[in-house]
Formats: sequence, C-alpha cells, structure tokens
Amino acid sequence: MTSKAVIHIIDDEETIRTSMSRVLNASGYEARAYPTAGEFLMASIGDEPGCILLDVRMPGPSGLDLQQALAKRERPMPIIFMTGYGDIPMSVNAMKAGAVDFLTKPVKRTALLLAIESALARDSQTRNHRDQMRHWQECFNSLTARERQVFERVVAGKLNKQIAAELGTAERTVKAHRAQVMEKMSAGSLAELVHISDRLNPIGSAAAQQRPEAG
Amino acid sequence: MARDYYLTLIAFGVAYYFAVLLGKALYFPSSTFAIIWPSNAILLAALLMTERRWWKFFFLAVVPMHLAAMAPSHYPLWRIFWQIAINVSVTGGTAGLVRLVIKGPLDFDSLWQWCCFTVAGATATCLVGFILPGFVLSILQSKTGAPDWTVWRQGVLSNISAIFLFTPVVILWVTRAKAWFCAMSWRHLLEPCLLAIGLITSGLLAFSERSGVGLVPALVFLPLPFLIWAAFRFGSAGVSNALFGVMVLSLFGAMRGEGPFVNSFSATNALSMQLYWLVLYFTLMPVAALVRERVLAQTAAHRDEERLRLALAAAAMGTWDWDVASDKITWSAESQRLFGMTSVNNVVTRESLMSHIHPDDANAVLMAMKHALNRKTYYEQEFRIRSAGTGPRWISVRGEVLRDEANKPKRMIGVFLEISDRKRAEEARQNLVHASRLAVVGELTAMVAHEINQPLGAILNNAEAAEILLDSPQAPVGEIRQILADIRKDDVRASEAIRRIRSLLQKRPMEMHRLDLNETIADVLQLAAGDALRRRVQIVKQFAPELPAVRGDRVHLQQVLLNLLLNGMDAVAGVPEPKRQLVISTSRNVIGDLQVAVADCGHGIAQDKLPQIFELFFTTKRDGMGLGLSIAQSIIESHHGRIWAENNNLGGATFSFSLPPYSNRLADELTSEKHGAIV
Repeated sequence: MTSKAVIHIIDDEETIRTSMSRVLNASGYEARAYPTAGEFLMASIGDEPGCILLDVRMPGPSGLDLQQALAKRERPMPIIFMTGYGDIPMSVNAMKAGAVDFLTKPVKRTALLLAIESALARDSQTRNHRDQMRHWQECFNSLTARERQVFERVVAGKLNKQIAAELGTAERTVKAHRAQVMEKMSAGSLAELVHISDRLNPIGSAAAQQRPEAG
Repeated sequence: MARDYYLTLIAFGVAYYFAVLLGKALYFPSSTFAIIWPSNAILLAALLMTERRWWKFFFLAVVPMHLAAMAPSHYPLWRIFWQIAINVSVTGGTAGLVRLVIKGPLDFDSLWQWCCFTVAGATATCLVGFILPGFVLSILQSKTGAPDWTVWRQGVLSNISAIFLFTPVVILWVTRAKAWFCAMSWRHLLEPCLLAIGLITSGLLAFSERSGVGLVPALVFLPLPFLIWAAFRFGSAGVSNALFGVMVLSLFGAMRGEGPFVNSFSATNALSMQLYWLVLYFTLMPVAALVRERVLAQTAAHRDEERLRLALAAAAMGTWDWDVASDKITWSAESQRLFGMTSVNNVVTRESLMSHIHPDDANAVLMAMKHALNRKTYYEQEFRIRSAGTGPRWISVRGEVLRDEANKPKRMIGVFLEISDRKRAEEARQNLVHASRLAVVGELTAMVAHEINQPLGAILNNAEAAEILLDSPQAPVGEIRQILADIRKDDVRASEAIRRIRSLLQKRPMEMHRLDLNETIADVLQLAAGDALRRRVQIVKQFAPELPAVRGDRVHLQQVLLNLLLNGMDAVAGVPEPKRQLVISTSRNVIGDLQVAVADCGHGIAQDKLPQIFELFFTTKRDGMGLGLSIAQSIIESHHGRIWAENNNLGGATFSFSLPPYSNRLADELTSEKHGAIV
C-alpha cells in the first residue's frame, strides 16, 4: 500500500477520470481523481511518492493556475499536463514552469506510463534531495550556539587559532567544539562539511530563522 | 353644395309651374283630371335625385308654384290645397318606397331598379287614389254612399302615366345629358337621328289623319319597330325618350281630334290612350333593362378577361387546362413559350408535355398530380424543364381540380410561371448562408478536440484498462463489464458529437419544424463548450422553464446562436478572467413571443455603429467579413422573428432575437405565404 506511487488525476471530465484511474490502478499505481483544481488543493496529500496528471483546460482555475499554486509548496509534485487541444505557446509555458511532460488526448497507455515513470523518477530524486536537506538541517539545528559559531568559522576556512582568538576561548576548546560539529553534522572531512554548508547556505540564515516552523 | 340646391330648387319651381300649366291644358273639357299630370313627374324626379333631407324644401316650393299656376281657376282654394296634398302624397310615397330599397342613384338599366320603381309608383298612386278630392266628394255626394270608381280610375291612370312615362325621361336627361353630349360624335349621332326620324314619321302616320293614309286603328303598331330598336340599341334611356315621343305625338293628334284614339277621346274616357302608353311601357322598359344588363355583363366579362390576359402577360404566366378524360392539355401561347414547344390548336398531350420536364423531376410532378386528383383539389409543384440553354429552367405550376357532380375529377386548370431567377437567387442565398456557417464552425477551433477527443480518450483508456485486467490471473468480470458499458456510452457520445457537427456542415435548404428552443440552445452550448473553455469564458445559462415550442430550422437557428456566442466571446476577450462571462437567457416577452438574449460584459457597441450592425459587409473586427450578423438577421426574419442589439446599462452589449411560438394557425399562414411568394 505505502509502496504504491499515488497518481493524482485532475480533470473535469468524469469519463476521463474514471477511465484513466482504471488504467493506472491496473498498472500498479494508486489513482486518486479530482474534478477541479480546488478539490485537489483541499485534499490532504500524504508524503507518498507520486505525481499529478493535470488537464490544462478546466472551468474555474486552469491547470496552469494550479501549477503556479503548487510551485510555492514545500514539496512540488511533478506535473504531467494533458490537453485535448494542444497549442505550442501553452505547452512551452507549462514546460518552463517545470512540467515533466505534455500529453495530448487521447493518451496512449505506453506514453502515459513512460511519462509517469519519468515523473516518479524526478519525484524520488526531489524527495531524496529534500530528505538529505532535511537531515542536514536537523543536524545543524542540533548544534549549540557556540558550536554554530565554530561551524561558521571553520567552513569560512579559518584556523583553530584564529577562531579561538575571535571567540576569546582556548584553542583546545575550539578543537573540541570542532570535533563535536563534525560528528553532529556527520561530516567525514572538512571538504564534506563545506559542501553541506554550501547546500544549506542559500537558505542558511533563513533556515535558522524559520526554524520554529520548519522544526 | 347648398347653393347648387337653391339653384336646383329654383329650376325645379319654374319647371313645376310650367308642368302644371301643361297639365291644365291637357284637361278634358268636363273632367276633374288631366289625361296626364306632368307636374307630379317633375316633383318625383326631383325627389329621386336628391337626398331625403332636402325633400321638404321641394314640397314647400310646390305650394306657391301650384297656387300661381292654378290662380285663374274655377276651383276654390281648399280644393287647390287638397290637390297639392295629393301631389305630395303620390310623389313622396313613391320616392319613399323606392328609397327603401334602392340607395344609390336611380337609372333604369337594371330590371330590379325598374321593378322597384314601377311597383312603388303603382302602389303609391293606387292608395292615394282613395283620397282624391273627386273620389271623396263622389262618396259624400252620393246618396247611397257608393264611390265613383271612374273618378278613382281616371285619377290613378293620370298620375301613373305621368310617373311612368315622364319621370324616367326627366331623371335620365338631368343625370345623363352631359355625358351624352360629351361622348357623342357625328357618327354616333347618326343612329339616334335616324331612329328619331323613323319614330316621328311612324308617329305622324299613326296618330294623324292628314298623312293621307286615313284612319287605320292598326297603325298604332307602326312605332313599335322603332321602340324596339331604341330598346335594343339605346337601353332604357332610348326607350323612355321614344315612349315620350310616342306619347307627345299621340296626344298631339288626339288633341286635334285626329288619330285612332279620337273615338275614345270623349269627355269621360281617355282610357285607351293611357292603356296604349302603359302597355308599351310595361313591354319595352323591361326589355331595355334586360338588354342593358346583358350588355353590361358582357362588357364586364370582356374587361375582366382583358385584365386577366394583361396580368398573365405581365407576369409571364401561362395558363393550362387539362381535360382528364381525353388526357389532353389546352394551353396558352405563353405556356408554350415557357416550354419552348409549339402545338396544333394550342392542344398538347400530357405525354409530350411530360417529356419536356427534367427526368429527375418528372416523377415528382406525376405524383403531385395524382395526389391532387385523388385527395385534394389544390396542386402546386416546382420542376425543371429540359432546355437547350445554359443552366436548368425552373417552372412553378399551380392548379386546381374541377370535379363533376359525382365528385370525380373532370378538369384541372392552372398556370405555369418561370421561377428560374428566384431559384438562382435562392441558391445563391443558400450558398452564402452555408459559407457563413462554415466560417462560424471554422472559428470553433476547439470544438472537434473537445467534442471528439474527450470520448475517444476515455474509450482508449477504458479499452487499455480492460486489456490489462484481462491479463491478470483473476479477471474481474464485473469491472470489465462496467468498462465495456462505459466504452459504449462514450462511443455514443462521440457519434452524437459527429452528428451535431455534420449537421452544421451540411448545405441544405431551410426546413421548418417544431423545435424546443432550450434544447436547441443546449446543443449549441455543447458545441461551443470547448472554445469557451479554451478562451476561458464562462457561459451562464438562464433558461426559462416550460417554454412553448417554436417553428424553425434547427441548423439555421444554431448558426445564429453560434454567431452570437462567438461574437460575445470575442467581445469579452479583454475582460479579466473571473468576470469573463456570457449570459445566455431564454424568456417569453409581453406579446408572447419567445426571446433569446446573449449578453456580454465587453466594451459594448459604439452608439453610432448600432444601427449598421446588421448590415451586410459591416464589421468592427479586424479580420471580419461582415456576413455573420446580416445572415443571422435574414435567418431570423425568415422565421418571422426579429433580431436586435443594444448596449447594457452596466457595460457590454446584448444581442437578442424573438420568435413567434409554434401554432398550427401560423403554420398555415406561412404555408399560404409560401404559395403567395411563388406567384
């Protein structure tokens, strides 16, 4: 159950929802169908791997509107667009905004499954990346205030002596903090620590501020 | 008007005065009555020629004139007033009776008018006879109280002779003299002159002994041929004048003591002369009236025929008459020209006529003829004929079946009319309407995608799902059955969509049927749904429930609706999305017509362009042709409806059209109008 990828189908046509759900369920996925973008946004989406099959033209908010709304989410799910009437400018816009694929109805199963596979691959990639980040963030969060000060200076390439002078402590104490940081951040080497810092940095200080929410 | 009447009154007074004098001259030496009393005839003629409200003035004018004319008289005054009262009663009674029946001007050219006049005159005179002074006095003076019937007879005959022989002459001269003299040329005068000479000669011979023939009573018949001549050639006017002449001549002779009536011209009896006149009057006046009626009828018939011939020629219409028994058709020269055929004596066999009809239409013509013969009486058909020239020539035929007493068809008569021009125009219009419809459908770019691809996509998905399910170890039969049902449903949906689109693409003439307007609009909205979605326009339906049906052509009305919807979508293209709406509503208006409105929230129509918006080739769009709305208008008008545009108070424009509700009566009217349009 949990191992099944969940495919979210958003289409205003009931027959399309039903028939597509059947194909996907039969192909080993779990299909969930929504008649409007709004209903999808309202639904509670779990953390299972998955992707979205989205009809471009729907009454109310369109597929592109939904794409924009989802992009702001913490975990952007890969989107495969479907349309009965494809035009080039629209598909270009969709792809620029990060769509995985753009399928024209009627959609053949092989094309559909291929698109889903690649979307799921991207999803798992994103998920892995996100998990790694989340792990590093958690490690970073576990550092004490003093350890963070040491961490920042270490990745800035400062020597223990310089750090000790800046912080007004003994070089030995800095060494102990540094070992603590390496361990807590599960970094094997200085190079690894710098890499982690680089990945965290774009959101570095922001992540620190957002901590109460993120935590 | 009033001045004319005063002049008339004065003229009448003078005439009356001399008529009384003349009457006095015609008194028998010792009789209380003149042989003829012309003043009454003058008075009656005056009454019959004027409106009733003027009669009293004539009656008043009679008093002084009568007194003046009778002044040197041995009669006492009361007796003269009595006479006046008698004259007024006779003439007033006669004129009143005549006016009860005949409202218009009185001429004596119809038997009916003559009868009315004669009966009225006889009735009034006979009744008034009982209050004649001589008659009343004879009763009072007789010891036994027995009336003197001779007095009554003398009075009645004297008045009747005046009324019958004098009055028509006066009336006809007054009313017609002008016309006679205006219309007469010397050549036309010759015959009446000859007649007058003959009449006078024969009269002199008959009523005067100085002619040398001597007294031969049978000579009274001598004027008869001339009277009959007058009757046949000059109608009642001729006869009355001729009779008047005979009367004058016979009186003239008798007064001089000559002629066949002298024997009876005694102091007590002028009976034979009066009877002679009256017999002639009763014989010849009706003959003249009958002859005149006949001539008038013939002239009218001839004029009608001429008018019909002219109308047919002007309309390039040919007539035909099919005798069912002999199966031969008699037809006019115009008909032959239309068919490009010649025939002997204007008669053609049905076979040879049919052979000229276009083979594709011949059967339809035959069927329609058979149907007309068997079922109904009216026949109408349009067909092409074989022609050497370019393009087919169209003929419209209309006819009616005439049946015998046994209700068996005897003849069929009717007309042919060439309608090639109309047909060509009709075809051109049809082509234009079709082209415009194709353009409209062409604009619905998302229609096929939406209408066809959706069900096809569902069918494909379902079929593939079923395949996978069938491959699984325990195929879920129930679900596969459900899938097949869905496939079938989507297939039906797709073919419905194809039917809808196809019907819009076909070229065909307008055919009126009973239609549900809401249903027709719903169909159109289905077609436009894809494009509305693509252009992100929300279409709001506001349908009135339980609308009556309309009479119309579904496809043509859908064309109009699509046009309005597409225009509306163009109009709202610049409006920000949540407000980008069209409202399509149906309703019944105050006069009971069904009304459809498409309201947009765009920029509206410039006020100065509103009146032109339905004109051909008028457009506000950059790449528009200006066909859509003008064709929409022609379609709505051929549905007997109305289409108009107006700006909304809150921005945007509303295009509306109204159609009359379906009714059998309307259907009949439209059919008859169609018939009317063909001729």
